[in-house]
Amino acid sequence: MPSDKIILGFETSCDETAVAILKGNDLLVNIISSQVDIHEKFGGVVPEVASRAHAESIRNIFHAALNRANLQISDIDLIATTDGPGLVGSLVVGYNFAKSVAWSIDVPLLTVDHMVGHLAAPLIENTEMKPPFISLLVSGGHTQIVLVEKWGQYTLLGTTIDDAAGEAFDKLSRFCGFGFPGGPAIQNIGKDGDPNKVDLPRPKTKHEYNYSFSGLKTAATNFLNNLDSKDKVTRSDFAASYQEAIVDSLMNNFIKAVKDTGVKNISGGGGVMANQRLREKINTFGKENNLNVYLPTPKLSTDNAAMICIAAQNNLITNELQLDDVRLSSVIK
Amino acid sequence: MFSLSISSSGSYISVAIHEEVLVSSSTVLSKNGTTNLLMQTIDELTKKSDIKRDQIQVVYIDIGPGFYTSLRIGLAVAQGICASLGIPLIPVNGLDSLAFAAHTSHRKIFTVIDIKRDEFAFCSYKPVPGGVIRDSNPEVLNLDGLKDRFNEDNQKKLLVGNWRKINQKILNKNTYIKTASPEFVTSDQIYHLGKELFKNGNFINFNEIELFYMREPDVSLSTKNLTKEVNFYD
Ligand SMILES: [Zn+2]
Repeated sequence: MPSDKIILGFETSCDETAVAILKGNDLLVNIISSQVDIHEKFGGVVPEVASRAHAESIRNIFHAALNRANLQISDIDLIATTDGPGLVGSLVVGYNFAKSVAWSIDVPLLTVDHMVGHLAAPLIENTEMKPPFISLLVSGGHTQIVLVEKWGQYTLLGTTIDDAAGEAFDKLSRFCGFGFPGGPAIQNIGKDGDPNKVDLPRPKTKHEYNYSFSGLKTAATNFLNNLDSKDKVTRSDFAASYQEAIVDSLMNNFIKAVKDTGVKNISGGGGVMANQRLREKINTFGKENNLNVYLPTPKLSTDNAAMICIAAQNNLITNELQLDDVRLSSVIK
Repeated sequence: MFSLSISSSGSYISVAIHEEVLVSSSTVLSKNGTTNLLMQTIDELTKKSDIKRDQIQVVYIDIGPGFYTSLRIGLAVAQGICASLGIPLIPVNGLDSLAFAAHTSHRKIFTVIDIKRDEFAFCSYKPVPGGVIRDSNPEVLNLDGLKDRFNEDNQKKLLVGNWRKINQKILNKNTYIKTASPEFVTSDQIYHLGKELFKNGNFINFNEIELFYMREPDVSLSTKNLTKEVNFYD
């Protein structure tokens, strides 16, 4: 795969309509059109609302991406798109748009698993990152510890048995009226709060690397239902304590997985990886244990199409594929 | 000048290529969903017709009413092709295209399209020389609503569209209504009406095209009933 090939990527698996263009190691554009404003009033992502918004905006964002990169459609060498997992009604919009563009200009199309996109995202800023590594993927839709022994070989070490980490933030934020999405809202409100003010549990599961957040959520809502202003718990203290409980829970299993496997490279991704407290703890853990830490910046942690481009490029490089190798049967399957 | 016409609003994926007259068309039942079938059908059809992709100069798309996800797949594909080839996209309303296909009738025309959950998109039309004009605003009706419309007056009516999905008892009792084809929206109908709109310059810019859902989305989440009064210190 010649390094100057231009990849146009699409990602519409949840509530972000995202288009990016990658040329070799240069991320030319990375447009993420968030629907947060639309979903805010519902307190969560409404699938039908998300699908409608994708269908209305994808073409505009596609044109905007080409314009910003100062490229013609004929300059594109490869199209990459997410084909799942995600909200089906949302996925099909980006997937079919990508496919029809690839067909129209007769270039190959590579589909990318959304989670593989998150795993590959750090490569955009850290081309030197190499397997084996362990990644903590945390968002409103997923909570996973993944061991990447080599590209293409992924072992799911742990996952959530109930809510995703992002949901745990969203649900409590909704309960308290803090806003949507819950993660940034709680982080913001808890900024100057005391993370040890409220004693909340760090739930454990039978399977040592698996997560469970429903116990924490119940404990937190019970606490709030019985809260008296005499207890002198401020919104800020509660938010900081709740965030600390989620971050601790996430870290406990992740640290255990890293130590048990002896892997020296660690990474992460997903919307919750934009959380400053979680990033802080991962960086500290890495430093204290002489690990290489490859955390994508917040903009590359949340859902985006740049990660789809880099995952497609990485797939071609690691499998020593030429564009012609993926041309046939790529669009029509 | 070649045109590509697409309808994916119902149980069928229908694609046609015209060069003034029909060059080729394909209509297939989309049993397992539309996701991969539409592009596959378009690819097969252009190959079979021996036309190159960049010979397509306009796309006509069925914007509904119909099944939401299939409609969005159709629109995404049409927008992708038009954006890449730099050609116009002409949105065509499915109810109108059904009525237009039946316009040689002397009867008043009723069109129905199944939009799931036992509801139907409905519209009534008057045939005029060379076409039809809407006699009512498109509306969403359940079976009782349809029954009321069918019994509104003693005028003779021609019913086209997904009438087989309507409880036959309602239709059998009504002697003023004659059921007829077309029974579903096809790409050929989309072409015939779309061509007229295109010729008259009667179409909107691509970024103003909206699917004709006819229903607000189901919103089960709501912040208000989940937010509790919490006695925070501040
Ligand atoms: Zn994600």
